[in-house]
Amino acid sequence: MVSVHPWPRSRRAGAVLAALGIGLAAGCEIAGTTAPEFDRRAVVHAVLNPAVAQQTIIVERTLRSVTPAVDGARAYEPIAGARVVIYGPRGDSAIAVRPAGAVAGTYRVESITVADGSAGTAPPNVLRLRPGERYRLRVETTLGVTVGETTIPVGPALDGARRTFNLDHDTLRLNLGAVRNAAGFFLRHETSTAAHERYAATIDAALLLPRVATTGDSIATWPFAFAHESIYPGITQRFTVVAVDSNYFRYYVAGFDPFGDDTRGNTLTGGVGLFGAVAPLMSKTLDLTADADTPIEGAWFADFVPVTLPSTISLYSSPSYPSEVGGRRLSLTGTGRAAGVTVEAFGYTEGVGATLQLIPVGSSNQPIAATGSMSGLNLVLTDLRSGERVTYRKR
Amino acid sequence: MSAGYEASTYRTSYREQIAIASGNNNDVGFPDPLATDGDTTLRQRPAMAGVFAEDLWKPNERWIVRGGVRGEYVSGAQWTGVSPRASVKFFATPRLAFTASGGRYSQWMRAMRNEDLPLRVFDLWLGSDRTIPVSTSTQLGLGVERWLSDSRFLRVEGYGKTYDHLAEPASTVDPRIRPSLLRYFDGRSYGVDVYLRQLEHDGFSGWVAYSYGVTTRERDGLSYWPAHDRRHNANVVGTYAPARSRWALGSHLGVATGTPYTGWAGVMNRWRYDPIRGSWSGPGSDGTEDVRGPRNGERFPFYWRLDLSAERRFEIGGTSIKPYLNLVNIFNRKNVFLYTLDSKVDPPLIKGASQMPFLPSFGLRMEW
Repeated sequence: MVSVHPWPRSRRAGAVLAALGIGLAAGCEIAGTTAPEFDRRAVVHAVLNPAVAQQTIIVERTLRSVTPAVDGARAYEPIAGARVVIYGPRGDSAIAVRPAGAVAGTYRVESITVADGSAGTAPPNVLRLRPGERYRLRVETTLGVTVGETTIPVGPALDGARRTFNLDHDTLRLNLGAVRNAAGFFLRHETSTAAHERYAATIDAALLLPRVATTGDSIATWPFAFAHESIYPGITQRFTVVAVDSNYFRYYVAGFDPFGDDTRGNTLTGGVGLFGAVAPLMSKTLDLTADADTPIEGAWFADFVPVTLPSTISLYSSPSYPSEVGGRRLSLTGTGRAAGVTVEAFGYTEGVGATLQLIPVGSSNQPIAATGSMSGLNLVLTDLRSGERVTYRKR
Repeated sequence: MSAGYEASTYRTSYREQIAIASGNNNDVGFPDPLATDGDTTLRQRPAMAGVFAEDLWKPNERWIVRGGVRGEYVSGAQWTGVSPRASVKFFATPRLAFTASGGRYSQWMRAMRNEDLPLRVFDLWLGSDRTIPVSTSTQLGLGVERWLSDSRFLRVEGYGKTYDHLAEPASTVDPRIRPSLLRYFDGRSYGVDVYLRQLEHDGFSGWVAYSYGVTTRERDGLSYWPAHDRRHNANVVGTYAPARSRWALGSHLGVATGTPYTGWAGVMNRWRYDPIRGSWSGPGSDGTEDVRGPRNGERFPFYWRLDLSAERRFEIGGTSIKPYLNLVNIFNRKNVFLYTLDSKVDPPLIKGASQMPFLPSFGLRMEW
């Protein structure tokens, strides 16, 4: 697998050499002068996505500067009144219009996906998206005509089924045999607090390997290896894979060319931006588990209903891909329920002692710091802030 | 008449190794990510065989006619070309001559670079093969030469040239060369050169040269000025070194109109797309990007630079020692080398870096 992360360090060599040479050749800085008025261009963002029933096209114009507005909002100069048409290869087309209530510059068109190889049928002005076929976008504005073309990747039906996944034994696989017209893949790993994304020109079908197979060099060969330090048992996480066309891939992955003659990642003519296509292949929620092979692992239940600490908590002490947190190995993770809220536990063990951070999911509650120890078949935790002390037992 | 043959073969090996994946997202990447599928190994063994014949014919004192033809075969490209050339010089008087020349030229080994990069660090030479066509050019020139005195002459030449299959990499900074990602341009240029030369007379010599030139490149129906397209260019060079003096003084004044560069059409919001929800995250959610204007649609300001030099000769024994002082860009003129756009302020600023500043240097030359 070749993985491409936007703007990686190791690709800086050429630009650095160029900059160094230019710096040596250049004499000294010339004081800045106010830029003349630019010949503004249309900026168009459009992606054809067979997995959704509505395609959204954003039309704006280039800005003179990116200075935020007084309220801190991003500068944005939408183009209203644009004529936005998407043409299919079989003589079909649909006009995107500004929906009621939508902000200016937003154009939408209803769509259906036709995957049986036929032309498909649809009500008037409903776009028929046929994976594998080439579509053309034409946007007419007062700044001129912007056009682009894209071919929709072909892939199997979106796999969104939730499942329990044992990191010690299971392998997450994707059927890539049915994927066509993809220039690359977009991968996203989501936890309750963060998301990691990566683009790859090619990927292996085995997306997530069991821990036993990820020792040594093999750790870098599986597509979600970039997130391996965030994959913990006991935590629910989402894994997404999307096949993307070459325009989409270029737009999000292309690097900066300081002396180039086009805008980074642009594949439109007459304007700049993106007209791409995607085929979502997988967006799967995995309830990650692992084998319970140490005393602290398992489901723990409080003797009484605590005020701040969890009433139940499932812990795993041997994360598949542990990382350093605060100078210690993170070796204890899990999920519990505290005050009616799901909390995720992250911590470590030292002998029979345990230290935990309990982070509420989807709640503004403060994280809980707790310490405790194993005593026989009991786990005793103490909330470092409230002083609440709770004894847990396995059932 | 002379004739001959030429055979040449090259072995080139080009390999770059770039580690692509990285967890750092604050660095500079290269413009075409789809070219990043690993290391590149490019090995070529181009070979060329050619024959040529040339003849110089002087039917009388007024005419000099030179004709020739070159036949070439480039093995990698399986290209065969015939390139005729001819030139004529007619002396209307012993001090006035007219010239005309024309011919066809080809290039199958070229330095691969994007001309818009202001400075090159490395050159990569690529030969023509099945995917890289041979570049060709047809050229025509007309001129007149006139001796104004025994030590002074004037030459004026006009020219017109066409080019086919000029290759360049799409990126200016990406060191990876992939034949499949090369872009091919046609082009043309025309102009006139004026050259007035003063040979040494009473210690003074020098020349004045002026060029007017227009160069364009075309591809897919669009044309642009290449980065070296300088419309007007003049140089005045003078040296004063009397025979009886130990001093030699020199000066050079260069003036020119600006060369082209690619300007800006503003800044664009990049939008982040969620392929699962099918929604856009908002303006600038994927940052912002400078939007380039038409390729080389702008020109740098007027250029001028004055250089002075002085040299003193000492004779010690049989050795001639010449200490010298050179003063480059004596007025410290800030001729623009490149521009950058600062769009994070309102109004946006065009900033720049200058070419060589005032630069004194000195040295010593010894002859024995």
